[in-house]
This record gives sequence, C-alpha cells and structure tokens, in this order.
Amino acid sequence: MSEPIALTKITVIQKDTPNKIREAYIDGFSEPLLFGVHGGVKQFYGVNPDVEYPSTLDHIVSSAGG
Amino acid sequence: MVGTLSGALEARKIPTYPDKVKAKVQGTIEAPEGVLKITKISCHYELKVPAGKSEAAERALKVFEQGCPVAQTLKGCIQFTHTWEIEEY
Repeated sequence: MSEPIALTKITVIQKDTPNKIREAYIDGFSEPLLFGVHGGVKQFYGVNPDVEYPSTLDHIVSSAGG
Repeated sequence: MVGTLSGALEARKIPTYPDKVKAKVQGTIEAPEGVLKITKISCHYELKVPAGKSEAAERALKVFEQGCPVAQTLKGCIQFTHTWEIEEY
C-alpha cells in the first residue's frame, strides 16, 4: 500500500450543546472553525440558538464549491 | 459527527459540555487515480461521562452514525472508522 499524500488532522470540541456549537481546530491553524445551525437546519432540529453559525453541511458544500 | 453524537448522548441523560466530548479526526488524502481525494476519515472520541454511564455511551457510539447528516451524505464515498475512550467521573 502506498503512503498517503497527506493526513489532515483536526480536533473537534463540543462547545455548547443547547446552541449546537462545535469548534474544529485544524492542525497548523490556531483559529477554529465554528459549526452550528441556522435556517432550515435550525428549524429541522427545532432549536433557537443565541448565535447562529454555518452547519457542517454548509461546510461540505462550501468545500465542494471552493 | 460530534454534534450528532452529543445529541445521542444527551438523549441518554449524559451531559456533553463543557469539556466532555472531544474528537480527534484524521482524514487520509490519496490520489489513487491521479486526482487527490479523501479516502478515509478516522474519528477517535474522548468522552467524559458520569459514573455508571459508560455502557449507555457505548450504545450511542455504536448507532449515532445512522443519524448523522454528514456521515449519511458522504457514506459510499469515504470510509469512516470510529474508535473511542470513555472516562467516568
């Protein structure tokens, strides 16, 4: 088996469950990505967070677009 | 993964924050056909649970992926593995 070209290493922390906020720290970068809910995802889960952040699904789509 | 897992834990009366649920996630990037792609994602969860709640936490760990929007979006494209360590307090 060949060696991988890259390994991407990330630490994810459950920050605030009522507001569905997680922080993701990508190795090599100090600023976290913040995941949360808004819009239709917020409505789907029936929550009303104090602060809204993009969902993990938003991040998948933005990665695809990027 | 962490968000859905936390929801599954909370449903079992296991608090999930602050500093109770963490994941170390590693993605493997290869180029099997000359194009970079993520082939595998391994997730290692570090949970702190109340005394006597380890078994309930393990049950959540074994099933939560079925309810995870990201896992369900990417399944079939990326191979996921889940491992964990549980510390009671």
